[in-house]
Amino acid sequence: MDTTRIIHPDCAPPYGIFYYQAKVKYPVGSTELLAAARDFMRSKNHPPQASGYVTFRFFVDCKGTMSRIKVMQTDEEYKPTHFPRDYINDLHSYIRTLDRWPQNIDIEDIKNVNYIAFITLRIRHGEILNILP
Amino acid sequence: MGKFLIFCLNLILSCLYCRGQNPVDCGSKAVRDSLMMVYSDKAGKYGFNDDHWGETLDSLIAICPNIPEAYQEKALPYLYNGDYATAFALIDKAVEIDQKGWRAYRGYLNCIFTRNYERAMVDLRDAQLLEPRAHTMDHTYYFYYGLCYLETGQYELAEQEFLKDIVEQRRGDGRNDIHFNSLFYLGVTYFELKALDLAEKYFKDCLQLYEQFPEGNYYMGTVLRILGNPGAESYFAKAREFYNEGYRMTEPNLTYVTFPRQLSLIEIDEIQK
Repeated sequence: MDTTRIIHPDCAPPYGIFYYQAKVKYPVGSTELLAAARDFMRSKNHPPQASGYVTFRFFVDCKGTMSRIKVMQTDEEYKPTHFPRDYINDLHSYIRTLDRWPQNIDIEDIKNVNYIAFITLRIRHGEILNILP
Repeated sequence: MGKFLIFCLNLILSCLYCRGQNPVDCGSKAVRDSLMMVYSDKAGKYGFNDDHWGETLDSLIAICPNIPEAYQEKALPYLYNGDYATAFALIDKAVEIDQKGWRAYRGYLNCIFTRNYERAMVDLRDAQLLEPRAHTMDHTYYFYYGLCYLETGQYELAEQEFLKDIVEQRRGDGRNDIHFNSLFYLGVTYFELKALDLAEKYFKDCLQLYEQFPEGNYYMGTVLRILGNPGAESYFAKAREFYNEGYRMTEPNLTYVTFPRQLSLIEIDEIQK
């Protein structure tokens, strides 16, 4: 969705480090995240629609800024599918509100690493059931 | 000229010999296991974020396409990075080759990784028919049924499954320790059923086995607070203290997933306010 990568000048070069190598997760629990996501999407009044999984995978720089967001969509059987574009755009807007990504992480000798993380929303008929991982 | 003829003859004989050699016997379990060990070690040298991880396993699949572990290992980076379409296509292939070996594992993935509880229960039921008393990822199948029912709000059914899980763990001389997470989730189930005395009992049993368990302390505090017990606050304080000391729920794959009812520090802090 967003192809530009943003890296603060204080951050390390963009090595291919994943959230699990940096040992980070989004610090807010999934119950609270789920409630916020549901509120956000209910305010958009989308009609009941597709079911499945929408994954946003993105780059987080050492200052916690998200960029270069890729979206992946499957149905409930994990087969590739497409949700309506305006629905995805609103989910993307919600993902953009997540601004508490861990910052200034060091891995061994590398200071201020950036990392790749993802958030998946499990959806049934347009209603968000779960937030993963 | 003579030497050239001998060289050509040798070359032709070598080719004929190669063509006549028996191919790798992929029907032999010993051969498959040996190949898997060699290629898994080789892939492991790169790590699963490296393209060579998948390429190495592809080489193995090209030699013997009937090794389920090759597909499962190839699926890991996709699973850990949210590419469920690719991950489950590979896991499905492993299940197709060996239902008995991999059906329950797919049930576990559906239950824990993607919270697809309906599919998880189908897989677990089928796995149980094939291998009634087996375990997967440290737990009985009943444990995962219990989680599926708990997370879909079917608390009476969850209770039955967690109780069966405990009976199964006590099998034998009946003196085995029960997994503290079995006790924890049974406590959560009673909490949801508003059977607070039973919830308290199971959280207490759980904490006897793992005193520093943040979620165990948090839920124990929650039950006691509802019961008007002033001891509640000390459990919340312990949950926070142990979390800050690095204690966590212990289950395989917690680096990549969040288990049902697993808490963040923010949630633990909020209840103390």
